[in-house]
Amino acid sequence: MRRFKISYIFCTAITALILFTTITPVYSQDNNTITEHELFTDISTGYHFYNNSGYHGKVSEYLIPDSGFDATILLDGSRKNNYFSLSSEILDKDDQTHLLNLDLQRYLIMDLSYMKFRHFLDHDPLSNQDFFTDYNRGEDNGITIEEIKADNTIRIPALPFLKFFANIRKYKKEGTKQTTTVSKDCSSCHVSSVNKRVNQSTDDIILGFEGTLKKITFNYEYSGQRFYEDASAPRSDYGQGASFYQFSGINSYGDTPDFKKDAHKISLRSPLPFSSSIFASYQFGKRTNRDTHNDIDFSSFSARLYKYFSRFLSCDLFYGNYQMDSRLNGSFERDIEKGGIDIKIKFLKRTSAKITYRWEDIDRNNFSEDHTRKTIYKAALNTRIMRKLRLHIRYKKTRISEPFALVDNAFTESIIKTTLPKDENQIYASLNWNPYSAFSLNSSIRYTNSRNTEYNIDEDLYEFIISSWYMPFQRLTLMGSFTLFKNEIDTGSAYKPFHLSDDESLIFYDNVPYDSLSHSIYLSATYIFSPRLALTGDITFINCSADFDNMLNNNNIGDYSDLDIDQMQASAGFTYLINPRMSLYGKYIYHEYEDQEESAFDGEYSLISFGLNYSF
Amino acid sequence: MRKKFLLLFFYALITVCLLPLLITAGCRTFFESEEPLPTIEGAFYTGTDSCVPCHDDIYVHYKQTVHSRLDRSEIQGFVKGCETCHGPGSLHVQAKGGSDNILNFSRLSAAQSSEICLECHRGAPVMNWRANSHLLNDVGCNECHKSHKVSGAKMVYLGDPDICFTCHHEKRAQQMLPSHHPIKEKKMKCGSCHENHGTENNNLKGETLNDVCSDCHAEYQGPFTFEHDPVVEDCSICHEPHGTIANNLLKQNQPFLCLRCHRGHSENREAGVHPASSALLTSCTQCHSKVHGSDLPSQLNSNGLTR
Repeated sequence: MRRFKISYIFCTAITALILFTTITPVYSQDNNTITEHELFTDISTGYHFYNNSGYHGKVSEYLIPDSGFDATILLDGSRKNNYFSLSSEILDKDDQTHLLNLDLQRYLIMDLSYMKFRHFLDHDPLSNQDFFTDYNRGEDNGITIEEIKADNTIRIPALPFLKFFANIRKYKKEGTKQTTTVSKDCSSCHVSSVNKRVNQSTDDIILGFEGTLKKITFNYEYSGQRFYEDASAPRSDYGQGASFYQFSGINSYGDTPDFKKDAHKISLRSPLPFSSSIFASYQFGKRTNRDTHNDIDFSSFSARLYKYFSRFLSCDLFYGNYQMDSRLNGSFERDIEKGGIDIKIKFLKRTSAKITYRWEDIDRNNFSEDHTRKTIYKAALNTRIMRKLRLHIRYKKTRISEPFALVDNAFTESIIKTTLPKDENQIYASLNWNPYSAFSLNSSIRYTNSRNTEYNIDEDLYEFIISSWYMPFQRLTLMGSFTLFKNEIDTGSAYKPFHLSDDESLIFYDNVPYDSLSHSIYLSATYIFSPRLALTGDITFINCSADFDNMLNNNNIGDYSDLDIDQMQASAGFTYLINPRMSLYGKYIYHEYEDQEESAFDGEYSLISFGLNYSF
Repeated sequence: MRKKFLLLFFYALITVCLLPLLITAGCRTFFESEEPLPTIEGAFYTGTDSCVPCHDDIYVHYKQTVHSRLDRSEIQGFVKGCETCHGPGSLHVQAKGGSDNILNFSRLSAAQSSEICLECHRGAPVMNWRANSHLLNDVGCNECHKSHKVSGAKMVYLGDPDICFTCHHEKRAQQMLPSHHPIKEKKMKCGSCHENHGTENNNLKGETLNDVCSDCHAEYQGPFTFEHDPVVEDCSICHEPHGTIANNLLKQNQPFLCLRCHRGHSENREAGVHPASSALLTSCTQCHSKVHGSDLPSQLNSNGLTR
C-alpha cells in the first residue's frame, strides 16, 4: 500500500499543475508564433493469424503470441501553441505500445508512454542431468513486461530561468521462469526444477529542476527506485545430508529480495574565460537490500574542462571518481578514479583527427586483485577524401595492469583466473560511399587482439560488414548486407576431480580453445508496381556456430558447449491504394529457428496480417 | 572516513574558487563564447516575414515544429524566427538568395552547426555535448535532427534504433544474433541505455554500466549476502548486451565461460564413474542457479550460489 503513496501524491500534484498551467494567462506569447489549428490522423485496423510450432523461447521470443485484431493510430495535432501527438500500436492484448506527447503552451510538456509485451523464456530440458526432477516438464515459461512512463517538464512563466521536471516509471514483470537448485546428498546430486512465479515491479521517480542563468546551467535531481518481488520463493527437500552441511530438510530457494535505491545529483555547466567551459557533476546515494538490510553507499564526482584553441584545435580534459562502500564486513568494495584528455585536430576542411588518452585506477577492498590500472590510447581519423566518400579509421590500445581476477578456492590449493586481457589492440575502419543519390555503399572492418600472458589468454575478434542501398529506377529500391563475426579464444583452464583428496591435485591446461563464427545475409526489395500498388519483401539468413575443443577430462563437455544455429527470417507485403486516403495492406512473416545441437529448441513461426488504413 | 573528509574538503575548495568565476561568467559581455559562433559580417536582422516569400515550403514545415511554438520567456530573448539559427538575413535578402550570405547548415562543420544549437539548448541532455564522441567524430546535431522536415517533438528524422543503425552497422548485425535485447522488435531502443548526447560515463545513462542494467534487471543489483564478484565489478565481464550467439547474452557458452575463471569439477575416473558424471562440467547454472548473488547459503559451501 505504501508504495502507491508516492504515485498517488505525484498524480495529484500533476493534476494540480495541469489546472494551474491551463488557467495561467498566456501574457508572454508572441502572436507571430501562434500556429493554425491542424490535425493529422492515420488509422489502420486489421486481423492477424498466428502459428507457432515447436519451441516458443527461441523463434518467437519477443513476437506476437496470438491471433486476433490489431490496430494502429497516429494522431498529430496543434492548436495555437498547444500540441499533441498520439501513437498507438495494438498488436495483441499482450503486445501494445502507446505514446502521448503533450505540449501545453510550453508550460507543461508531458511524454507519456505505455508498453506491454510478452517475453518467452527458456525451459531447459536438463537433458545432460542423470538425476533431476522437473515439476513443470515441457511447460512454456514467459513473462509479460509492462512499462508505464511519464516524463513531465513544467515551466512557470514568472520563473523563466527555471524548469521543473518530474518523471515517473513503473516497470512490471509477471509470469513464470524456470528455477533450479541442487540438493547434495551423499548418494547423489539431485537437481530440482520448477517454473517459479515472477511478480516483480520496479518503481522509479525522478524529481528535480534545471536553471539557466545567462550561460550557466545547473541541474539538481533526486532519483528513487523501489524494487519488489511479490511472488513467494519455491521450496525443495534438501534431504538429511552430511553433518557438515549448512542445513537439511525442506527449505526455500530462488528467493529474490526487495531493493531500494536513492540518489541525489547536482550538475553544472558554465563557460569560463579564454574560450573554455566546465561541466561538473556530483552524485551520492545508497542502495539497500530490504530483506537483509545490507546497504551500499556510493558517490561519484566528474568534471570536464573544454578548451577551444582555434578552429583547428580543441581539447577536453576529464576527471572522475566513483566510490562504493559496503557496510557488510568483508564485502567487495571499490574506489575508481579516472581521467583523460581528448584532443581534436582539424587538418583540412574535410579531415580531422582525434587523439584520446584515458586512465582508470580501481582500488578494491576485500578482494584478491586490490589495484587495477587501465590505460587507453586511441587515435581516430575522419576524412571525406572526396565529397562522396567518407572514411573513418581508428586504432585503440588498452593496457590493464592486474585486471580483475577471481580467486577460486579448491580444497588443496587456490587458483586465480580472469577472462580479461592485459593488452588489447584494436583496429577499425569504415567507409561510406555515396557516388550518386541512388546508390550508397557502407563497409566496416574491425580486428581486435587481446592477450594476457599471465593467464594464457589469446583472443582474436574479426568483424566484417558490407551493406548497400541501390535504387536502379524510381520504382525499385534494393538493400542488402553481409556481416561476419569471428572469435577465436585460447585460454588457460583447470579442473579438479570429484572428491579431490590430498594426494590428487588440480589439473591445469594451458590452451583451451573456443571458436565462434556467425554470418548473416540480408536482402530486401521495395517495388512500386503501379501508382496504387507497392510490394515489399525481405529475407535474412543467419548461421551461428561455436566450438569448444574439449581437452578436459570429460568427454561430453565440448559437445554440450557447442552451438550450431540456423535462422531464417522472411517477410512479404503489399499496400494497395483504394483512394488517396484509404489503402489496403497485407503482410506475411515467417521465422525459422533450427538448433543443430539440440532439436528441442527448434521452432517455426508465421503470421499473416491484413487490414485497412485510413488517413486524413 | 578521513578520505571522505578530504574529498569533501577538496570539492568545497573547488566550489569556493570557481564560484566568483561562474558568477561573472553569466555576464555575456565579459566573456566570449566557448567557441566562436559563425557570423555574417555586416548583416542585420530582417525578421521571418522576409524569408517566407522565397522559402514558403520550409516555412510551412517550420510552423509545425516545436521551434515555432517557443515561448519568449523560454530562451530569454533569443526568439528571432528563422534568423535565430540562420543568422541575420539582410545581405541574403538584398542579394535575393545565395548561400554565402546566410548560415547554411549543410556548409558548416559539425562543431559550427552544433554551436548554433547550443546557444539555446544548454541544459540536459546536452550539457556534456562538447565532450561527446559524436561531436568529436564530426557528427553534429543536424545529422540526426532535421528541424525543417520533421514535426515530432525531437525532430529526429528516423526512429531509434534505425537512426543509430545508419552508422553503427555492427550493432545492427549483433541484433541479428540468436540472443539479443528486443531492439529490432521495437520493444527497446538504443536510447534505453545510451544517452547519445554524451554523459559522464561515455554515452551510458548510468554512473556505471551496472546502474544501466539494473534499470530493468533490478533483481540482480544487490547487495547480496553471497555475491558473485564479477557481477559487482561489471556485468560486461560475462555479458555482451548488443547480441551474442550463446544464450542469455553470454559472451561464450557454458561451461567454457565459467571455466575461464573457475576450476571445473568432474568425476575421478580412477575411482570409477560417478552417478552424476554427465551433469558435472556441462551447464554450471543448472546447479549454481543464483549466479548473480543470493541471500541464502548453499548446502555445502555457503557461497555456492545454488539456492
